[in-house]
Amino acid sequence: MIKENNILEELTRLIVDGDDEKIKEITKKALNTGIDPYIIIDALNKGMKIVSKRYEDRDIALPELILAGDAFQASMDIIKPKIKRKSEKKVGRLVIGTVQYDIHTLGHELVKTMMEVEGFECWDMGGDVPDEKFIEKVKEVNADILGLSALMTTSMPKQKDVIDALKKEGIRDRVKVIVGGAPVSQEWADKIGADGYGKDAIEATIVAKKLLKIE
Amino acid sequence: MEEMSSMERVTAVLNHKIPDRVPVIFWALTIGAREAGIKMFEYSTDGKKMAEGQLNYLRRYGVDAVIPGSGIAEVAEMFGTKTKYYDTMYDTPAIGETVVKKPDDWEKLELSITPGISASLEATLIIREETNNEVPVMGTVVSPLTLATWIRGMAETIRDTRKNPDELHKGLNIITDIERDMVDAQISLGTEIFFMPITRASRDLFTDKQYKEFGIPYDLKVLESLKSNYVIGHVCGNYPMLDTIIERYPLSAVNWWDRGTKYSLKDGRDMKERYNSKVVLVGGLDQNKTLIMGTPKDVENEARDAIEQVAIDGEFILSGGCELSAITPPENILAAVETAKRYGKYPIGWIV
Repeated sequence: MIKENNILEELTRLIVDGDDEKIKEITKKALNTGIDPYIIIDALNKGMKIVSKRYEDRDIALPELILAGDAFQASMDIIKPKIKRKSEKKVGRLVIGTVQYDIHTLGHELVKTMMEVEGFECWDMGGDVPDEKFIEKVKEVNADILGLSALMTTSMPKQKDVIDALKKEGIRDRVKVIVGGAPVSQEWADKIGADGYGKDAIEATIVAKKLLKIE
Repeated sequence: MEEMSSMERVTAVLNHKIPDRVPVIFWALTIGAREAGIKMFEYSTDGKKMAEGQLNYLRRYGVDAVIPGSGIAEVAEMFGTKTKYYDTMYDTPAIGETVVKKPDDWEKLELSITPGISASLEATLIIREETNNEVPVMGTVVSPLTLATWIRGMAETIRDTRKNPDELHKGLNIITDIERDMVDAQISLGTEIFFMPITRASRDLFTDKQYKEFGIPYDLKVLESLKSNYVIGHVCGNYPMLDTIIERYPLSAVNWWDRGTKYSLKDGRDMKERYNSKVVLVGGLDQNKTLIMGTPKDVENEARDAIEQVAIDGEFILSGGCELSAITPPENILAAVETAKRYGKYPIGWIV
């Protein structure tokens, strides 16, 4: 038990340190020791929460958050095959991407990472995504949440175009839409008829959970 | 007929003198394509068309300066990135393919003259001649770390600060040297006033310690080559390092999103006092909420408020907090200029 706790504590620390190499080794060690994959994920989440809090408090900046996300992904890549699909505890389905004419994908990638931490199943559409591609994916996976990121003043109007396209397709009421990005505001979200706005990855996750009434 | 030409007005403010009225300058790049009625690729690569778009913008709205160019992607292209153009009049060119794909590539960066940069330089000369040198035709120089994030990609550059710092420093040194050469080239063409996007000086992205290592030394080295010129710096993000910029950077003026971020114009004025700085403040209008979504009356109210807050003793230029979007309604741009003409005349003390 002490050995298990030590391994889990080390995994948490490696997330905080953003060490995406060492964490692979320790994740394998944890699985070989027989620790339940979900307990390992809890340890990873604990690390991400520490990092998120430090980012929120401005003790650290984006490099640490990104590297923590890299470490989280590296560990999850090893854990995922060990998890039986039926037992996955997904809380919702998120389709997310950066709108057309905008290639700045970092913001939505951070949101995706945070949402994965919170148990969402995520489909990352990448950057410069045409309106119709979002619509197709929302239909295909029956998404609960659609996240639209725009990092430039010049690409913000595409968020409205996607919402209008959802209406035109008659599926607007089937999916909650959250918007974000540096130039985006609550006022803009209200004006274009989005369901929510998050000023950063943490707030976007809180808003998404609230919209889906997830505790 | 106004008392001063735009050149006199802007240089008066940058020299800490009282002009006839508050100048109005926007970081207006892509709007030139709309004003020329052409698509972005043509605008970005044809100097004559770029000049036409910027001259139309200048004459239609009566703004006090123009900045030829199509954005940071154009500057990054000189280092080998591939630019992605959209088949529209409105959308800023983006990076289609980065050039630094692995850390070792940083030290291989070199300069090439591209159609985009040639077009910007040609447009600069045409506009200067057409306006009889009575309007500032600003040059562009980009903060090396900002440019690095376009050349390599934001996330990868950020990873390099932690995983490959030596390679990143090599790249930043090359970028800085090339930028200094580009500054010299622009100065030799007669450019006196420069616009410098320092968009990564943001605590959303980096800690102070990180920016001190990867940002400040290179920014200062570029600014050193501009010490005889005027430089308007632009910082971005929700938490710009405005205090650091005002305290440490030898800028003539500084622009940030004062209506949407942590720091208001009054905060900027307080920082000037704190650091004994004479930097000119540039802003006052929300480029999204007010200029795109608002009415001309909203623009007027916000511009008047900014003028009342910080323009009374000079050292203020009315502007947006970031690039002027090409979807900004023409009447809102006109309202900004009209408000400066009506309520920004010196002396300003009578405003109630």
